[in-house]
Amino acid sequence: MTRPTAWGAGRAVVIFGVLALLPFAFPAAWLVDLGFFGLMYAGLAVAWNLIGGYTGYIWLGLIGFFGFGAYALTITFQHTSVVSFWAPVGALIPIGIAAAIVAVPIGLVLMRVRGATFAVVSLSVLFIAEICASNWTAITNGAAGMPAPAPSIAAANFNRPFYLVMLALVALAMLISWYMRRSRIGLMLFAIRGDEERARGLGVPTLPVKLIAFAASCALAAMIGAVWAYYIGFIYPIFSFSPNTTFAVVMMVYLGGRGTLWGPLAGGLLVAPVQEYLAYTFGNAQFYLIGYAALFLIVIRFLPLGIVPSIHQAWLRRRSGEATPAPGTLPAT
Amino acid sequence: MSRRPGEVLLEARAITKRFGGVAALDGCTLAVATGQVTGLIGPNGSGKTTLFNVLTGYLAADAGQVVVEGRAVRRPSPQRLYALGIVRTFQYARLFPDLTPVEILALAAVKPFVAVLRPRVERADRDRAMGILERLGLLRIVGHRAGQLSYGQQRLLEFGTTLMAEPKLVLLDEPAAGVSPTMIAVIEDQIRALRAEGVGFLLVEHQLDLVMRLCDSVVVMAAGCPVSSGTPEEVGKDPAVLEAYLGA
Repeated sequence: MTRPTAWGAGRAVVIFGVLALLPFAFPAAWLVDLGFFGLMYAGLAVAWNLIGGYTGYIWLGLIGFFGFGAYALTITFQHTSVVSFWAPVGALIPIGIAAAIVAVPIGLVLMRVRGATFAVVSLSVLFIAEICASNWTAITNGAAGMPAPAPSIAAANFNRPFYLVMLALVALAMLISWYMRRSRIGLMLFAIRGDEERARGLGVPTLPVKLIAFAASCALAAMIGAVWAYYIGFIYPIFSFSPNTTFAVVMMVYLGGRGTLWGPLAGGLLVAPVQEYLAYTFGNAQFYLIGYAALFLIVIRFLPLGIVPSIHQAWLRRRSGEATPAPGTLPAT
Repeated sequence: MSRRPGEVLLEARAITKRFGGVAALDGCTLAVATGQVTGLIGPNGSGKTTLFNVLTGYLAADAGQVVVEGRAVRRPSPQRLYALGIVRTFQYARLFPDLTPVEILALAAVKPFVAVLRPRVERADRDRAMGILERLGLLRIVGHRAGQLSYGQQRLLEFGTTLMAEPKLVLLDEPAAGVSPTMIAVIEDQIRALRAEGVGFLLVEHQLDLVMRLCDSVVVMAAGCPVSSGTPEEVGKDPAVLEAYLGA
């Protein structure tokens, strides 16, 4: 089911190939901008899915690491006003590693609780990070915000290199997600999702495998946050550590298909550009949040498993004409 | 795999476990040997499941030691005891609904930590898992997910995980509860076969006829510690046992 098939690899090449060609086929700045945010949310959704989908932990602190990455990049380059485009990109890997290192002790504390308690405690990571960024003015300049490094690239097609770097990060996130689910660690994470106590009884090293997934999730979020800061050029604590971003990412995963490989990517790519478009169209009134709530209700009512699993099941039904997995079980596509 | 039968493998030494003011285990001492089936019986609330949970690292004892092959286990955890060859089943079939039987069995294979990066189900594990499913008469459920199996099939599959682990000792918590007589017979045959290979069993079971048929020795618990032990016949005649059950 998760064997690396020629069909699966071909599908990945086609999808990422098309995504890479889009900014050349549609070079209008506003379209590439929508694409950038689509990819950003897709990448965050894939990163969230490593914990929220694979282990079933409702992980609401991810955007704390997104903001961590944004500030890490900004602070690193704060005395460099004009840089080569690639210098901050080269800092992405160290930022990811730093985030993974920071994530381990935080994960050790968080992973002591489960269920609703984990959701609430993990959300505190976001708020604590935001409070630090707002108040530690000596380093972050507080609520006044910080300018990110500005690259010396031509104004024409300014968005395109950022789009492509973000696409590379999404590809990295998908690679990690794919590798996890086809290896034994994925089997263990799924077992933890099913019944963590039983998994311990089968000798599964639950805490280490959860920490690996957690660190990977945080590292990806931090790298994505760094590219976001680089792209928008100026960051503030409230936008870097936004609960709205957090809940948007979670909703995209649920819409696309929690625990699946392609679902979070699909959810992010479908919802984020629409959200950005509505935000531009209706200005800052945040009407789109009402649309979000409506969309979430529709997903829960009609697609409880998400888009990708629903399509997969419909396809299985059509192909076999017989019973498909019982309601509530997650297909392993 | 071959050990001399009768060698003590797992011991509980003076284990006490309190829940608030209630002592679920009160200085409980017990030894389980290889190549034997030891039955653990006693009225509800006598501490059988608590003892299971302490012996398998799910509960930390307030006092006393868990000893494996003569060595006290420091800070027992389920993972640590599993690595020492002490495996268990649960009172209720709790399996991972999203996983297939082969995946669940592969999960139960004992491996070093770095194996987490290896393929989800390695070929050798798949072959062994298929062999176990065949032994248990479960080959026709291979294509299903555990969540789709009947209760009895889940219990049988759970028993299969203990075969996969190549254990030294298996703790079975009411393996026959809710299982059809045919499936009980399958489990019984497997227990006998493993016992012949030198595997020890500690069996909590309320179906006394099964206990009498299968067990080499029986320990009776009451109020948190053993009150009687011996062969099934001896225990059946012990007045202390009647008192424990009937509160005479």
